Amino acid sequence: MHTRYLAPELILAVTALLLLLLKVTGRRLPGLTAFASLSLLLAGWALWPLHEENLSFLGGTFLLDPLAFYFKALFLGTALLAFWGAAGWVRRNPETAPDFHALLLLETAALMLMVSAGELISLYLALEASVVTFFTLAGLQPERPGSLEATLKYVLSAGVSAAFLLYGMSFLYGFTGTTNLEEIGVRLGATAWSPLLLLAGLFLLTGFGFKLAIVPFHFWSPDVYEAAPTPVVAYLAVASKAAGFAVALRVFTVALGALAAGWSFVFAVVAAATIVFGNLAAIPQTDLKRLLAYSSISQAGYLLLGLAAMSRPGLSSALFYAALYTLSNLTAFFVVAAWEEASGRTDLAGFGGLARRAPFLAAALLIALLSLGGIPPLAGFIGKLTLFMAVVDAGQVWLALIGAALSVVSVYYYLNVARVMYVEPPAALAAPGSPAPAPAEQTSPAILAGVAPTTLLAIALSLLGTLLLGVYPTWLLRAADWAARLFWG
Amino acid sequence: MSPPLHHYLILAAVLFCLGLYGVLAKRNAIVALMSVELMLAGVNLNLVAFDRYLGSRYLGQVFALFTVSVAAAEAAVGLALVIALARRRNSVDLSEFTDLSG
Repeated sequence: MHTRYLAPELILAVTALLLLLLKVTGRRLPGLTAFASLSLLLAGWALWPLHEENLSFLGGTFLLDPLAFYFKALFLGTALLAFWGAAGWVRRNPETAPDFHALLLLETAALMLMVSAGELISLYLALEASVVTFFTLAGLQPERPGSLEATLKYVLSAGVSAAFLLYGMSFLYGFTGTTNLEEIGVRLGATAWSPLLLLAGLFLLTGFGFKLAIVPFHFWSPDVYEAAPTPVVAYLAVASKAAGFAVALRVFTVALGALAAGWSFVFAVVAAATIVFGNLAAIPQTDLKRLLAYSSISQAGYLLLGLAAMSRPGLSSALFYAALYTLSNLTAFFVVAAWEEASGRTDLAGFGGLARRAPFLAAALLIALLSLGGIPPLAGFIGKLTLFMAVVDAGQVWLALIGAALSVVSVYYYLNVARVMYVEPPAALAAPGSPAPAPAEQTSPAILAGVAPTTLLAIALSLLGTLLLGVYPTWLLRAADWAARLFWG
Repeated sequence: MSPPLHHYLILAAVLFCLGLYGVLAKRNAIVALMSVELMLAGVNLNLVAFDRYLGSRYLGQVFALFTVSVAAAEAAVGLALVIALARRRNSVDLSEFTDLSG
């Protein structure tokens, strides 16, 4: 039966709907984090035996291949960490907690379906399911300043990008008379290149670019990152980008693979623009969540280097990069969430003297940022190195040079955060609802006591991942190579 | 005698562009949401027209049906947001929403 192949997604969806039903009864729901974690572990248990499969099912609607498996495992792990990291936020918002858990589970299921989609309609449906869930997640705290505006902006830009995506898809369908990606690839292989086909590809890129938040489709992301609840942003920043990368990869290599050389150039240009813009725009930011938003934009550019290379090493290093970028970014966002919980501030000045107040949080943030900047011996260094090598191998030396130069720029603004945390005097605390205590009284244990233990655990785990992957990257590199093996033989 | 395919495609492109113009130029949030629907109408016309003229009979129509239902879900969330904003701000003018910038 085919149910087995979709069991992980079904488990997540059923538990999410169960949560929503329980919420309607109006009872207080204890142990939400444990319940959601259990659901994810169960899904992981159902997913594991599928790693040997390489097939398409339900008439080609869904694919189950190593690439899909890699991303599904990544999403489950990310969601697990996200639930733990969100524990403090959940404690503060008991009203919306069941919705948060249910929606995040649904989101995970939608992203897992998205990376499995083997056909335009299922791809579109999974993408929309994830986007509509994210609208709701982003607007979960309407009382946050700017939350509703940012979400409305997000809805409108998502709507426009979905329309572009569909318009591109409609032309692909018109050219080939089928919606199956592999079939499209076969039938397009015979037709000659045409301007309309190029236009269709660019429309598709617009749709995926929005999901990836790459230049020039990034404009929504800093606002949403700043105004949405921090745990939601942590998940949005990593999982959504990875899924966008996976579908772009499938469409542009399988369906439009006949024009690979042309797309490689388009991706190279977009990646370069994204890296340059994201890193330069991050420099003047005064809010740490906005700074991380621009840094995430530039990271998506680095991911795209893997697509620009259009080679198996390029893809596998992009997959590796996606995993370690997830870990480092989660660490950074969880620290921001923890500090926001303790002090009520996310602006950069609010992190002043963090090293004296909460040395663990400061060190975790520093290591995560250095990893994102690509400093050895952290995981980010190996990720960037393998990406640059793949790009150079593909003959795009200029792209590697741009990437390396802008990495240095990124280290500048990451180190600026470190300077604020380690050199500047402690900032005044503005805990909501309580008069700010004198900074001198705020000792490290007192602050850490205000942070949920599971949040600290999530920070510690993702940090451990960043450190371990820097020293022992081989196993994940091998896994990424295994996941990439079906592309470009 | 029905009109040739490209007539439909041109009409669809016109609808799409009108919708895009509406989203970019109009200040009213509800009009902007309606313009997104107009873009999708263009897409649906494309899909159905291709279906009719390429003789593949049903796939495009199924796609169009899915598009319609998903667009309804999207519009539901969008309108809910507009209502929440209107309650707080007493306005649905996008240009007045300037809390975030940079």
